[in-house]
Amino acid sequence: MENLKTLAILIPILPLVSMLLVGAIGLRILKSRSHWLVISGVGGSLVLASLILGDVLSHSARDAGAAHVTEAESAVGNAALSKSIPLYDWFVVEADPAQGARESAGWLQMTFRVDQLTCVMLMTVLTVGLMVVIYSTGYMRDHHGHAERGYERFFAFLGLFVFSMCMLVLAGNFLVLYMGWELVGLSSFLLIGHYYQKPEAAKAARKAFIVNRVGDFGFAIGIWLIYLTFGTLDYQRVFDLVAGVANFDAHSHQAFDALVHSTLGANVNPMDFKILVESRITWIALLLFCGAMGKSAQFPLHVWLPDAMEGPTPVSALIHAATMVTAGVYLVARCSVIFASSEIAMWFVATIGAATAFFAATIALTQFDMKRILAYSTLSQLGYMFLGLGVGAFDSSVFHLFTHAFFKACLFLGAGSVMHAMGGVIDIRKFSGLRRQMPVTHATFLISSLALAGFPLLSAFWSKDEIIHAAFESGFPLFGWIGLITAALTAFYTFRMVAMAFWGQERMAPGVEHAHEGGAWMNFPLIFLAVGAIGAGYFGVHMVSGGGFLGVFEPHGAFHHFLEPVIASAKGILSGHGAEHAVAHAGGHTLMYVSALIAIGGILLASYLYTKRPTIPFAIAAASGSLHRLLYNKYYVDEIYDAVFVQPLRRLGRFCFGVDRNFINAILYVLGNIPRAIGFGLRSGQQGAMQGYALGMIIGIVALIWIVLNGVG
Amino acid sequence: MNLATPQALMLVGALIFGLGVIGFLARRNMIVMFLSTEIMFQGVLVNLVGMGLLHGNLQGQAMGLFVLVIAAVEAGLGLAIVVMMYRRRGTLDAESWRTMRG
Repeated sequence: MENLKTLAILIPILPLVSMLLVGAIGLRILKSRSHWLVISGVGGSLVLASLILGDVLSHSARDAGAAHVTEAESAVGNAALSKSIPLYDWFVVEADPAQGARESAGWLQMTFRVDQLTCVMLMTVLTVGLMVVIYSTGYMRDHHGHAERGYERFFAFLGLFVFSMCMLVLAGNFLVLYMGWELVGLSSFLLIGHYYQKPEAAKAARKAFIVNRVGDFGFAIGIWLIYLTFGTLDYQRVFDLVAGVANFDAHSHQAFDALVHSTLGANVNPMDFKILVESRITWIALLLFCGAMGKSAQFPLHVWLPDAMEGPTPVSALIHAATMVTAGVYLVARCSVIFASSEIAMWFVATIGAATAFFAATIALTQFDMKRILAYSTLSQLGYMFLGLGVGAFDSSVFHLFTHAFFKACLFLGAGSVMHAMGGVIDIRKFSGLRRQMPVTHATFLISSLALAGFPLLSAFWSKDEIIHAAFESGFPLFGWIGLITAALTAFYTFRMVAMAFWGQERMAPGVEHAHEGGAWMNFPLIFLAVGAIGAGYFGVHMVSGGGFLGVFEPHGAFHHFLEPVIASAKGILSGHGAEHAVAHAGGHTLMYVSALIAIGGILLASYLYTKRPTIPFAIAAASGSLHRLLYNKYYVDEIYDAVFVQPLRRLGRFCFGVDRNFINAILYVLGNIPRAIGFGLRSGQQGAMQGYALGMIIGIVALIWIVLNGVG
Repeated sequence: MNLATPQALMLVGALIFGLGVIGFLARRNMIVMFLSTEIMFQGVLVNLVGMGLLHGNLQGQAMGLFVLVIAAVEAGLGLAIVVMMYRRRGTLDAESWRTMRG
């Protein structure tokens, strides 16, 4: 345990130290060598995270190996693992002099928590993070290998981001989570605005920050409500209490009473507490989800993510595709007990997820900016994850998060390579046929695109199919149908992009004669992530000797067993509600064949249309007229927000400015002019002549003497 | 009539001091103004001697001698300043230093 604590502390510390060092001496001493510090910091954290993973795996293996032990004993083993790791007392929340100052409940502690979900997130974040840092070393330079302006600043902020993300996933209570949550928001803001001289980048950074504030406002209220209700912010205590309420059994409530009394004190009536929790749990879940919607860019708070593509491409890959935007998914998976306790919240999560998945995919069909297509695709995939969470397939969603991180990071880095080669041009109408000149980028991009499209046996095929399957079994099959349609759209828009950029006639962007690869620094991460895009899925499937998909593959593999302890309690609550969520995948193979066919169909259709018959899509676009305009303009969401929120607020701001300038400032001007007027009157007395002053002095002395001798009267 | 009374001496001192003040205020030449201040000094000295006489001891005269020495030193310093000011402006007119006009 002590060992685990040291490791857990060191993981965020290493990137933080590298960030501080780069920030302190990067500009003067390190200059274009700044990347080494951050690479070693993130790499070191990755090694430590693997050690933690090994530790947690051995815990899990011990529990699994002792299959004959009772449920209770196994639960004890997990409880020991998932217990909070207190680091230090952070601050006093309730000054209570009656209790001992140090160990009183009034102290809010800085706690970490290491369990299976933390491990998955840490490994994802740090692996992708390391790849992106390595890639940036090549990307943030010009073609001659000179570091561009702001090189060290970029790496310092990458270090800050990795630190923040580690804090977010390691948090052991809601306040530490919130701190990490805001820190990643800050680093996202700083990195989107990396090219701050560019007005669009500065605007996009502000937009991301402000839209996230909207979500975080709800999130903060949710945390406050948790504290009001449970009197603690510690994950485990809150989850235990919620599970206790959800599993309440009128016939044997001694255990629940004991739990309430031991956590909240002996003077709390368990029945009152149960009613209180039941009345608030939906609100808590929805408010927490508010934060998740902002960070994970779900409709209607999705508007910042496409604009965030103004940042450097490695940032888009790391923060706005693979890691930070999945924080919302992580939050819901972490709080699965809370969400599972509220059917309304689950339904809301699933609806928002399905709506975003479909809506973003339709927008992606019509865009031409490669990074924006990928951004909408990220929205869509995050929608899938929330759909999975909402229908109770928490493990499948985290699995999709895991596979998505690899192929989406790879796609973004590939788009970055293209952008680097095309001199900053990313519009797929301006170039085509890059296949021959950029073989590595093409190959890795193709693999990741196949993965994204859900091509059989690649990573997203497994994870996406599980989510769609769970959606069909949720008792509301419309979710499943939306999932399937979106899968077809995904395959289509992905290969539209691939076909337009890499296939067909060779054509360079204006002003570019030769496309060339970015060199080893950029190619290695691409290849590594492409391997991940193929292989990551196999953590989540297991081989059977017959009867599975294609005879051998069966979903729900090692990954899901590994995550089982984290979500077991939520699954228990869901099955207690009567809905059959314990997914029996026996009938699932039909769906797998269907979705494989859909993916392949979409891929072939897009490839055919955009390589052999490029006129047809334009004809369709022209024929569909207003529908195409609606999609091309992203459903006019930005325009609606502009009219409904931005303009009225701007008018309010202008009004306040007017009041400030014409009323408050006017008063100050009057006040300021009083001494000035007095000075103006007295100034004529100052003539600067010695004798004038001497005369004044003498008159004064004479007057004084006169007063002394005769008195004032 | 005995003129060596304290009253007479103080009257003479006051007259000399008043002359000095008038000279200081009326003249524009810095050397003359400086001399006027010296005259004021001498008025005070005569006053000191008168005070000594009033008390019937020599302390006033002794004090006067000390002040005389200090006045000599001060005169050297003051004249040096006047010389420097003359070099700076090329004239002894006090009006030429009237720069701090509000």
